[in-house]
Amino acid sequence: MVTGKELVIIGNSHAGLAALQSIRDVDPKCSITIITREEAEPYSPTSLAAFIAGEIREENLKLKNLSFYSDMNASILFGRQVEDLNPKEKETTLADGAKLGYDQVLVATGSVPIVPPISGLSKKEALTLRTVEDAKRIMELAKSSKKAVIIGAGLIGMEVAMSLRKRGLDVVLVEKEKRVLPLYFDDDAASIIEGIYREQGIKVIKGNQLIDVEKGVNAQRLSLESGDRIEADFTLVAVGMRPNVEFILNSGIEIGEGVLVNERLQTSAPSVYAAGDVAQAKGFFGDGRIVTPTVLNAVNQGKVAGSNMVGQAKEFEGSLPMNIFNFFGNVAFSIGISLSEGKDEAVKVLKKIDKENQSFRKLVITDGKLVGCTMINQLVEAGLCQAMIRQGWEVDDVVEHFDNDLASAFRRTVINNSGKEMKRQREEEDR
Amino acid sequence: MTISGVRLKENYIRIHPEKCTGCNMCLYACALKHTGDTDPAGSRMIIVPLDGEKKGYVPLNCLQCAEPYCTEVCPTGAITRNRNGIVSINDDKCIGCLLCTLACPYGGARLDAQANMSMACDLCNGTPECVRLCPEGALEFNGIENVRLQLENSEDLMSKGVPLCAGCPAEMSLRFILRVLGKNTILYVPPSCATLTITGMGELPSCKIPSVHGFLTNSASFLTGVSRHDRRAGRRISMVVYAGDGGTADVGFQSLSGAAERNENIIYICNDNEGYMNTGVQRSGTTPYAAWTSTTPYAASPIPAATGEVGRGKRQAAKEMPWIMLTHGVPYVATGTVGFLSDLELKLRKAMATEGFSYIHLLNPCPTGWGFLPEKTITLARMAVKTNYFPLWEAENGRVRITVKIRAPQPVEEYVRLIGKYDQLDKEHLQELQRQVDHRYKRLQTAASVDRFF
Repeated sequence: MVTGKELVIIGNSHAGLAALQSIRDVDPKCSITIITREEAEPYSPTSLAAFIAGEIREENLKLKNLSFYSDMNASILFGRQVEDLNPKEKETTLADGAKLGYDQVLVATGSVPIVPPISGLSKKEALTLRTVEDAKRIMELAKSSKKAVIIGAGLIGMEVAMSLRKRGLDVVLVEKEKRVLPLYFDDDAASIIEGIYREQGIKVIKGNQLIDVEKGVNAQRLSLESGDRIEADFTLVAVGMRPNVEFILNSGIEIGEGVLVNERLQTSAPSVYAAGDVAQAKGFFGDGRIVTPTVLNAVNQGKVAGSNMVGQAKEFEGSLPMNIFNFFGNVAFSIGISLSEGKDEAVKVLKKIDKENQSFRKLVITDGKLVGCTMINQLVEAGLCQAMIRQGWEVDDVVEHFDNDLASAFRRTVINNSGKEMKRQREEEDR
Repeated sequence: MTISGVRLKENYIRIHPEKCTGCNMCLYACALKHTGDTDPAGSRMIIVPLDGEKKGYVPLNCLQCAEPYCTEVCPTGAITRNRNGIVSINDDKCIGCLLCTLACPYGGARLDAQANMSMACDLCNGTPECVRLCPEGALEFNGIENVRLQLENSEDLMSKGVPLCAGCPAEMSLRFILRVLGKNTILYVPPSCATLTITGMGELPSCKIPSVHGFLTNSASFLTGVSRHDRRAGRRISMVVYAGDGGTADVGFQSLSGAAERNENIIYICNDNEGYMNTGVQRSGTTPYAAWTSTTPYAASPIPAATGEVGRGKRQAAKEMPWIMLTHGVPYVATGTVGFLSDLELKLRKAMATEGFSYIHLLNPCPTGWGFLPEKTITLARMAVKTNYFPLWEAENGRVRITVKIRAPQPVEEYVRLIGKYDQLDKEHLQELQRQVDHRYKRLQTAASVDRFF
C-alpha cells in the first residue's frame, strides 16, 4: 500500500523502532522522520545496569546501526528536542525553532526519573539513571567511592545495587515500602530476593525514607525518616519513572498518568498516536487504562501504533504488567496479577515457598484461567506463563502438577494448545 | 501475541514426535557441542514427556520464527538473523536480562546458568548435532542452509565475475543450476541475456562445461541431435537448454514443441524475465498484462510504440508456458525461482532423474527491464510467490502438486508496487491483474486436486 503520508516519530527506542518497522511492512514509500534527543544510535535503558557492572562494552549497547535507518528509508534527526506539538496545525516545533509538519505523529518519548523533594538534594544535582551519560557518571563515581546509597528498591534500584556490588562497593538500599520490588512481588517472594541480596553483602533498609542530604567534606551525610544517619560517597535516586509528557502539556491532548490512548493507541487528537512508557493504554485485565513501563509493552504498542498510522487497523490486546529479573544468577519473574493473596473467594492462589533452596512458585487463578504467575529459581519458562495468561488456556494439568514437575506441565499445555491455535489460524486463513 | 510468527521459515529443525523415544541423545549432543560437557542442563533443546491420552515425548526447541519477537524485545540488539538466515544470540552483546525468555511463547529461549546469559538453538550454524546423532530420525533439518551445505563441496562451474547487469538473477540461477547438475552436462544457450554467461568477456568462455551458443530458433532440435547421439554412444549426459522467454515462448517455440511431443531426453529451462531484455526491453509472449515495455508503453511515454499499442501497457495476458508444456504430456514440468533455492534444487534433481523431456520455468525478475534496485531481486522473486503471482508447483507424469503453499497470500498489489514497470498501473487494471492471478491459482488448485491432469 502506498499512502504518500508524512509521518513523524518522536523517540528512538523500542516503541519508536517497532513502529518504524511495522509502518515499513505496510508502506515502503511514505516519508518517515524520527526525532530523538539522543546524539547517536539508539540503546535501551534496560541495558544500563549491566553496562555499569562492566558486563557489556559501550559499542555493544547499540540497538541498531546507522545503516538500519537507510535500509528503512527513514530520516533521523539526532540531538533534537521537541518543544511543542500542535495537533490543529499538524506541526511540531523543535527546540531550535525549526518546525516540522506531519500527517500523523507518534509520541514515543518514554519516561523520565522521578526526583522527590528532599532537602539538600536539588532536582538538577540528584543522581538518577536513564541515559548512557547517567551511567557513565555513576561509573566514574564508583571508581573513587567505597559506599553508595540507593533510594528505592524497584527494578532499577535493585539492578544498580547489584552492579555496584559487583564493582566492589558497599551498597545500602533504602525502600519506602515494607518489602523490596513492591510492585512485582508479594511479601514471601520479596523476602527470598532480599535474602539473596543480603547474602551478597548488600544492606537493605525497608519502611524508611530519605529526608535530608548534607554535603560533607568527603562524604554525604544522609538522614532517614526514622532518625538514623548514614554516610555515603554518593546517592542514587531510583524511586520510579514518570511518562515524559512535558512538551505536549499545552497541546490540548488528554493526559492522565500518561498520554491517554484508545485501543488503536490514538490520543484525543486523531493525528497523534502514543506508545511505550509514555502512553496510558488499555490494561489486559479490566477496563482501566494503565501506564506499563516495560520493553515488551513498548514493542507491542509500537507495532500496533505503526500499523494504525498507515491505515491498517489493529487493536491493542492490552498491557500485561510483567517483568523478569536475573540477580546474581538467580531468576525471578512475575506476570499479571501477582500480588493477590486469594482473600477473595473467586480467586484461587497456589503457593509454594522453599526458603532453604531460595525458590518460590505462585499461581493466581480465576474462573479456571491463569491470571498471575510468580516464580523464583524455577525451571518454568517465563514466555510459556505469559502465553498461558494471554491465551486463557485451561490450567488443569498445571494445577495437578503444581507440587512436582510444574515445568513439564506448562510445556505440555503450551505444546498441546499452540498446536491447536496454529491449526485454527491456518484454517481461518484458508477460508 | 505472535503465536502465528512461525511461517515461511528458511531454516528449522522439523520434529517428528511420533518417532521420539525420549532417549535424550539430542540433549547430550547439544550440551556437548555448546558447553563441552554432556550435562543436559546446557542443552538448548528440552524433551517434554506427554501425559494423558497421547503418551510419548516431544522435543521442544527454538522454532526459528520468520518474524522473531525475541529480536525486537532484546534491549541490546543481541538477537539477530545472520547471513545464513539463522536467528541466533550474540554472546558479546547478551547481558542476561532474560527478556527474550519472557517474550518467547514457545519456550525457545532459556537461561544458560553456566554463562549467566540467554541461550537458544542456533542450529549449530548449519550442522545441527542433535539431528546428526538422533538414533530414531525424530529430528530432521530443513532449509536453505541445508542446500548450501550439500552444494558446498560441488564445484562452481562458472568463472568469477560475469558481464551481466548488477542484480541479474539469470546469472545467479544458472550458477546454481550447474552446481546441482554437475560436470556431466552439456549446455545450449540460444541468443538471450544468459549468452554472456557462457561466452565470457575475453578469449575464454566463462563456463567450465561443454556449452554451445546457437541460433534462437532451434535450441530443442539441436539438442535432440546431440542427445540421440549421446544415447547411441551409450552415455548419459544431462542435455540442458537455458533459453530466455523469447527463445522459448515465441521464436524458439516450434522446435521446443516438437521436441516435447517426441519426448526427447532434454532438460529445457526457461529463464523468464518477461520480455526481450537485452535488446531494449521489448514485449514478449510472457510479458504480463498491463506491464510497461518499450513496445507497450503508457500513453504518457515519450517512446512511441512500434506495434501501435498506445495506452496502458500490454493489453494481453502472459502466455502460460508451464501449462502449455504440461499439455504436451511431458513427464516433468516445474516452476522455480531464485527466491526458493531448496525447492529449485529438488526440482532439478527430479529433472535429472527423468527419462524423457523435462521443462522448468524460472521467473527471473530483471532489475534493468522491470525497474527496481539490484538488491531487490530476491525479494521480488519471493514476493511473486507470496502473492500467488508465480506459484511454485510441479507435475510428475501429469500429477500436479503445489510445492510451496502460501497460507495467507498477499494481494498482487504488494508485488507490483515494488516494480517500476507497473508505476502507472491504475485501479481497474490492477483488479484485472488480480483477477487473472486468482483465476490461474484456482485452476492450479483444481489441477492439483485431481489424480492425474492428463
